[in-house]
Amino acid sequence: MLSPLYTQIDRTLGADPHFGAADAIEARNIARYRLGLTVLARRFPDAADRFERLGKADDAVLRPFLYDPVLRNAFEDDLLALENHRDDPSEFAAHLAEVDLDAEDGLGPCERLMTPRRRPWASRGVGWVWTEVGPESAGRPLARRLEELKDGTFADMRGARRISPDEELVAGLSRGAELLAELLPYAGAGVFPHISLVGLARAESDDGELYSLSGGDPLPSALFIAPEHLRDPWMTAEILLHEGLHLKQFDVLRTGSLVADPGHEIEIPWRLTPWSLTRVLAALHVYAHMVLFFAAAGEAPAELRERFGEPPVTEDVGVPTPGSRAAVEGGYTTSAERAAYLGQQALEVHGGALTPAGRRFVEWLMDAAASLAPSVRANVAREPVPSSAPHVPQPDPRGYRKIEPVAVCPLPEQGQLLAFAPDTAKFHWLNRHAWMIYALCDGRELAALQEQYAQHTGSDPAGLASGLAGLVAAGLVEPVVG
Amino acid sequence: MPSQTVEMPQMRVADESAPSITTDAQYERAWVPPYLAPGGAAK
Repeated sequence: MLSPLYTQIDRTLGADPHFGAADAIEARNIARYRLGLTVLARRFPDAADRFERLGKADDAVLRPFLYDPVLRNAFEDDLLALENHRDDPSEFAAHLAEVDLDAEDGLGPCERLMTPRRRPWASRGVGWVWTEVGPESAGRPLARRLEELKDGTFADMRGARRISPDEELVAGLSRGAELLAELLPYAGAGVFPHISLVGLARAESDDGELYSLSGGDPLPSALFIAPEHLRDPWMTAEILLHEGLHLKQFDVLRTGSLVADPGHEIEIPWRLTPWSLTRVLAALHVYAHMVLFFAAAGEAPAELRERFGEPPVTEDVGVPTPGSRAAVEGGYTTSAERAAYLGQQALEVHGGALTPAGRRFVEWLMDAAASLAPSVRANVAREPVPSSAPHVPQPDPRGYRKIEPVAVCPLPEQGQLLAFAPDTAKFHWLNRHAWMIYALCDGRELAALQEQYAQHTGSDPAGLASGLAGLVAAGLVEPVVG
Repeated sequence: MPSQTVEMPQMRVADESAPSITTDAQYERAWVPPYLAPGGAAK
């Protein structure tokens, strides 16, 4: 049993509806997937039947498809082609044509290729182990594509070799997952729904040997671990948390951007080369959680120590690169020190480059880490970043109508509407205020729109003007002409 | 479930300060570097 403070921080990190709660993040991703299937069905009429069938499936059936690394990569490639107005054939349709949609075995398409099939945390998520592709499946396009995506992920490393796990290694994954979920029932257990493929691999680069890695769009929902780190459940738990958090963040990013200006680079005292702001947020996300992980591990109850052995005695998370400022002057070896630096840089120095959600993300992590590590100052630069108020144009008196074809997916339990803009092929997330204004844009004149708006909100009419301007900018509505 | 019509939200909106419309960005969807052994430079 953790102390009340640790339990509270575990809840803060694992239950935040925007960034922490796996079920809420998944619900948004499922909505995006269903709407994406609708959009792709329009774009590729020959595959529309299969897209629509999958889109109408229950969440439990749909989930292994959504998180399948090959299908997800192809789905995102199709959406990207649409967004970039390219006429590529649908790779997603080609792979989906290979799959038996009636199997109803709860397996994802790539998982179904594996022999034997192993789920190391079956009660916590759809994660499965890359064991071996059965000989009858090795020549299938799906299997070849999985190999290609894996090879691409390791392309910059030397001696990369995937390892076929034996039962002992699979058991090591299960032990590490069990420990993580029991130590941190919210933030720890909450990473598992975001993990699909779990592979084992060895590789190295000029910077050292591989511990682990996780994929973004090039190999979605996948992580790899060096098999040596499955002997100690504490190390396995730390790595699963680390990489699982990256995969969770990728799922968060699909439903809302954190960085508005990707051009910012940040000096890192313990490294020689600067990091992008996006990478800084990814590292902060992990380090803030590691502050809790090491604090909780240090006070792990006797029962966990008996089952899993003694926890790590050091909070050091890495050695500064030789030649870096930290290597010369010392410091920046613990999660707390690094989280403090990264959070301060993201908020104080580069806060203007974050989206409003990005600022909330950093503040949420800083607040949690500061509760355990006073060196992480949680109260830095909370004032809004000074900026000139955006000019909101006067609404058009002729009124507004939705740009056709309309494609939306409501999430009333989260107070959000997901809407697809047909001309830009982008997904937009509307809060209930913007949702209400969008609903009212049915071609009526502005005076009637204002009257309805006042009846429903009682808000300042400035909200209507800014909402309409936002909807026009997003490509969801247009002034009524003619 | 997806729809081609936009129904009014069935909840109050007066408590929200402003309309908000967000989207995602291609540049945030790549990947993060591997986690290398201590002494390495990626973590």
